[in-house]
Amino acid sequence: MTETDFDQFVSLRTEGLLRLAYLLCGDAHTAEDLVQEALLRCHRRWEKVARIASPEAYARRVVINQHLSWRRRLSSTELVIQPDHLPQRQSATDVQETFADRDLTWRAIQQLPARQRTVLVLRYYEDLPDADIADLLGSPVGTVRSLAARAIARLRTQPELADDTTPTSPPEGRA
Amino acid sequence: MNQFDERIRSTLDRRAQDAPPAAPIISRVLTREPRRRNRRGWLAAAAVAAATAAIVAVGVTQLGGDDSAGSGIASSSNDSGIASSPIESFTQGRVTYAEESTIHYGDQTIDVGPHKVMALVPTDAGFVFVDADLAVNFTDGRGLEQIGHTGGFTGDLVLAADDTGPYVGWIDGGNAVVYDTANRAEVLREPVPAGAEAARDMAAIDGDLAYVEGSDGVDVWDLTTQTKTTITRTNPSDQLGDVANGYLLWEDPNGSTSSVVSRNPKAEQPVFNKVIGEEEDQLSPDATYVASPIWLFDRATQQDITPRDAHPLPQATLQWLDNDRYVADTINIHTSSPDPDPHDLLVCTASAGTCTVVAESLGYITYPDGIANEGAWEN
Repeated sequence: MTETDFDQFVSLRTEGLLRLAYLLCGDAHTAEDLVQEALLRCHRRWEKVARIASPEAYARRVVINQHLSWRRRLSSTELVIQPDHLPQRQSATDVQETFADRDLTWRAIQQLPARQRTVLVLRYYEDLPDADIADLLGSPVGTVRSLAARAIARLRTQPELADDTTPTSPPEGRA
Repeated sequence: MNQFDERIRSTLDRRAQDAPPAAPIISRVLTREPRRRNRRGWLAAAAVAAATAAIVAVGVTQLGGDDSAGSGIASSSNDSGIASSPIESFTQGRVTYAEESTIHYGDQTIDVGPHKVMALVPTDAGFVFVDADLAVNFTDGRGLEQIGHTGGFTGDLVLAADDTGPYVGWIDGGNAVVYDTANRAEVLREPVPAGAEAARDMAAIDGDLAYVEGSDGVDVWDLTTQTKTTITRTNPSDQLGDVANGYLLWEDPNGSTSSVVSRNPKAEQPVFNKVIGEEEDQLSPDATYVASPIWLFDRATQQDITPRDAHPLPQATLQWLDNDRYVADTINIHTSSPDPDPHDLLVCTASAGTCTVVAESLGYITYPDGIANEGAWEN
């Protein structure tokens, strides 16, 4: 593997990692920092990372670990949700209501504890099975399921989201 | 999937699409970020350096020590190797690094120009560094002396030194060399172990023992008796990463596993075994800790004690100052420094999980790990 391979890796994977980081932290600048640190770490040991089955998985793991550690460090001072970055709630048409509903859901997700939010992002956005999430987080599968259940339960307590009372279960394919 | 699950999924999908594009700083920093080359990957760089050595000659200032090393010391009248102020002791556990031709030791500096520091290790008597001509030099802040020369093979650009003590070791062509910086004399010059050249390496010095790695095993030289024993690998792909306080750290690149064994025959082996997934691991001086560039483990309990709550986060363990404190570096992307890849150096306390910035916004520096900087030959 060469520097060129790393350049290709950055070219192909940066956008995906940025999207993941953005969902985890909810802030564009912090997402860039997370991804930058992840890529720097990959770069430093690229000869090794390039030999593993999925360099992207390694980078993703670093992003997640960094996010969780940063969250712990900044939890007492940082306001994660940044209203300026969120579209204003709209109404009147069905489409607009859909967007507004997403805004409410997004706000609620952003207010979840970091590990709960991470589990939701990995399960619903990255589409990972619980076993893979457990591996990424270094936690038992039962803990992942517990975190997901608590996250969803907490979302349901939000008044704006409480209209949907359908009981939840892991999406198909998770186990 | 029920409606609520779908609501979460569509929200996240939508938000992901809204994520901002990558900032240019990511690629800019990456293209300039200095890489620390694995010590086994030096063949190409060494060949380039050897070619350079053939056409460059520099003078050196001779110290008062004798020339028993037989290294052909040259003299000049410049002030190379003179410290900014007298250095009384090199055993105080100060932060050490080099920028170009300046060695930093705490708040003191030594100018070794015109030499450019490619690899650096501290000893109890001063500093040893390899320059662009592959010359091995020693300075204690009162002058500079060439004490040897490295050859042109893999591993030859690696200096080995214990966390404390006077010895420094390197490979010179077909020989393993150990030099005593306190007495200014070679104490060992022996043929390297048989095997492929690419596997030869001065792996470590631990107390009075020098570990020289070959393809088939590791020669262990007792520097006080000049006697040799050989350690045979139990795992053929293992590479000796470090030795400290009688503990050997083996790295298996194939399985990404780092294991530590004790030289005490009564110890239950291994005393540490972990899939770390990185190379360039090292032991703390008393082997209480196992440090990779990112992670930090308690060797006895195998617990991950990486200081994740430190700010900024350490990114590479560089140098142990004592049994509990170590120097790490981090990329400081928030600095106003014009340098495109500014580094901060941190001093971290392993037991407390805390780090403090001790040097900010450094550019391209040479770490005190004995491993030559790849980019140094590109400048």
